Parts: sequence; C-alpha cells; structure tokens
Amino acid sequence: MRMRRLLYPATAVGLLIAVAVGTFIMVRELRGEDTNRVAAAQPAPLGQSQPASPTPSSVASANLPTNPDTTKPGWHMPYLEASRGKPAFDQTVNGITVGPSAEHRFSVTCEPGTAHQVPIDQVDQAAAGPLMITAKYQPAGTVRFEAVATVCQTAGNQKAVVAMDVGFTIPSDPKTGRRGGIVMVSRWLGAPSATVSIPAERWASGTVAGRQAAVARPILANGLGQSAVVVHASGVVTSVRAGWLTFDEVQRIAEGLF
Amino acid sequence: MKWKVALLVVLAAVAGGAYGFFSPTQTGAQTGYRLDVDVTINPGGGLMSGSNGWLTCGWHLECKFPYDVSDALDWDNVDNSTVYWRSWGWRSDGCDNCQVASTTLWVSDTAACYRIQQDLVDWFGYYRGTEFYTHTTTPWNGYSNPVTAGAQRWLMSEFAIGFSITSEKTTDCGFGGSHTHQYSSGLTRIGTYPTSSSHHTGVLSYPIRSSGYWQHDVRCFWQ
Repeated sequence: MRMRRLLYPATAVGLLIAVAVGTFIMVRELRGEDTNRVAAAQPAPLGQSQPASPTPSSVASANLPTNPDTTKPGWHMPYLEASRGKPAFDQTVNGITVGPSAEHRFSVTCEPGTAHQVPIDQVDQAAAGPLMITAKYQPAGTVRFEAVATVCQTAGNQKAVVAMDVGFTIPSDPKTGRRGGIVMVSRWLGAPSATVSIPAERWASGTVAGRQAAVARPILANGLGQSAVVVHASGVVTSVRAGWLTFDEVQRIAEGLF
Repeated sequence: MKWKVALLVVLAAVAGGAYGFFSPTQTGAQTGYRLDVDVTINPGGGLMSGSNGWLTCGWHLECKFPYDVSDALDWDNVDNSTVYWRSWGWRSDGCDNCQVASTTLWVSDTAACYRIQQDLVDWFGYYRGTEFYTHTTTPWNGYSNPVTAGAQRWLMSEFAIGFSITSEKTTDCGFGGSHTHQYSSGLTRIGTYPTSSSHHTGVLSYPIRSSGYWQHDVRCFWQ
C-alpha cells in the first residue's frame, strides 16, 4: 500500500519530465543546431588500420550546395569528406607534373651530409639568386612563421643554396568574416615537377605574372580546403600551397613572388 | 483534478521548450553570449616507455650546431610506427564532449623532406592554425576529424595521422633516424620543454598523452 502511494506521484513526475525533455529536444531539432548530429555523420577518428580505397565523389554528386550556410556549426565537414573521396593522381598540367607522387627533384647535387637548414635572414641575397622568396603581396594581417633555406656543399666544394621555404598565416577574424588561412611557398632549382596532393579534377592551366602555371582551386569559392599554384620558369620551380584562402588571394600572392 | 494534470503537462512542455530555445547553443550568434575555447596540442610521437614519449631535441629549427632556437621539438619513434594527433579541448559553456574544431590532414612534403600537416579549423570553418610533423608520411591525405572539448573540463582527442619514415626523400633533410620533428604555424608554445641550447642530445621522458604536457596552444572565442 505504502509502495503504491509512492509509485503514483513518482510516475506522474517522470511523465512530466519526459514531456519537458521531449519538448526541449523538439525545439532544438527545429532550430537545427544539434552539433553532435553533425559530427555523427562524419567518419570516426582514424584507427590504426588503413582507410578504404577512395571512391570518386564530388560536391555535386553528394548533393551539397555550392553556397552553404556558413553560420551552421560543422558546415564544412561534408565538403571536406566529399573532397577526400575524389581521386588524386600525377598528371602534367601546362608542362608541369603535379600530384601525390610527383617528385621534388633538385638539379643541384649536394655532398652527402653537408645539407642543412638556416634562417633565410642568414643567407646572402646574391648566393640565393633566383631562389630568394620575396612576397610583394601579402593579405592584411599576414604573419611569417617559417623562413628557411636549405644550403649544402656541392662536389666542387662550393656552398650552394638548394631550396627556400617560407610559410605565412593569415589570422581569421569572425567579426569581419575573414576566414584566415595558411600559405607555404617553396622554391628550388629543378625539373618542372612538384608533390601536391589535391584531387586531379581541381587542377587546370593558368598564368602567373606572364608565366605558365598549374593551378588547383579550393573546394568552394570561399576558400575551403587546399589550393595550389606551381610555376616553372628558368629552371626554378615555385610552389605555392595554400589552405582556406580564396583562389583570388592565392593567385595575387603567387603574382607577388615574381 | 483533470485540469490540474493538463496544466502541469502544459507547463512542463512550455518549460522544456523555452529552455531549448533560450539556452546557449554552439552557434555563438546570440547577443551577449560568448563561448571561449582552448585547444592544446600535445606531441604526436610514439610511446617509448610506458605512457611516456622521448624528447630528443628541445625547441629548435634544426637539431644541429649552432642550434637555432625555434618552434620544433623532436619526438623519438621506432621505424614505421604511428604518429598521432593528440589534443585536449576545453570550452566555457555546458556542452560536454562537443565539437569545437576539426583537423584536416595534408601531405605537405618540402623539397627535401617528408612532412604532413594538420590544419585546425574551428567548428564554424575559421582557420586557427597548423601543426606540422616532419619525417612523417600518411596514406590519409585529406581526412578530417572533429576535435572535441569538455564543458569547463579538459577532454582528449586522439587519432592516428601517419607513420614515421625509415629513410628520407633526400640526404639533404637532416634525418638521422626515426623521429617526428613537430612544429606549428607560430602557435603559442609551452615552457615545459627545454630549449635546444639546454637540451639537444640524449633523451628526456615526458607523459606526452597527459593534459598539461602540450606543445602548442590555440585559444579562440565565438560570440
């Protein structure tokens, strides 16, 4: 009898809580902001096993709009996932070989064990010659985070600058809508070939400061994902790899290197 | 009696709905609402003794005399062993085990070296920084993973991102045996680890999966 007296109010309270929770969930669903649901559609964190072979897909075939609502949390994840599934392979674009296994190959041979990296500021401009990286255009707020030269001794006991690598970041600013991004510029003496793992369908012929180039656009016009510009001129390869920047910005940065 | 029950049901529905509508969510677009996020990035090297990783060179550009102090730490690894993304995330609201960012993995070889990078983009698609892992390669180019955080507590995200290599692309890379040379796009560094001028040979052991043993830090907020 005593148990029964306790059971009725407990059941009633339980039902009221269920109604409240149900309404809470329904309202959140209507607002479309269940961020955990967004994540649930994504692949689980990588395990130690090899991933399955990529299967071709595209933004179009995944029925993703080309102008997404970027105020929705996690909006970018389905686009990155769709891009990941697209095949990337080596190809020659505008006379330049690009792709995941296209080699960076130096035309200078270093004596074994002599190569090392030094800050660019310690390298003589004349010694660097055409490899020197000077970015005449940088988006507002750009910060240089890396600037190194690879130097070595060649067979004739000559000191040589083999390559230059400079990295920039552009900080994001949600208040102004600036999404920010990263740019990595590399220059070396070598054949027209560069390792860049971007899906093959995004590559096209282009022109940078009047020079032939291979260019890869980002996934979306707002700069989502990776993009690249590779130029080969006078025996020097210039590779510009960028992330999260619009292609217009990447093109302007590339133009400013010549 | 019946109308009292009905009133209670309606009140419960209104209370639940109102809380669902007005309580903070991840959009960060509400007036007066601010969500702070902190993601600390730990070393990604292998566990060499128990749960400890081995630091073989303090903050440096290249672990070679005269040891320029820079943004990188060298973490020991055995050949072909797994390299990990490890981070601890914290957020200022009540959303526990919720996403705050995503990482996207790229193969980003330099002219001389194998390298991969993890770009960190917040949950609204704004770029927040990059972590680089040299002497490392991956079959998972383009993979993205969510980074989670705890509700005013630290929560770990950990997943495999690549493998340490056994030999470099060229002899010009300053390799000298399997390890991960980890650095960032200029993110904040921690003082826990020594500089290269004070440590550049031998091994120092650290619990590299633990909260507080981060290498780089990303802080941001949405409002």
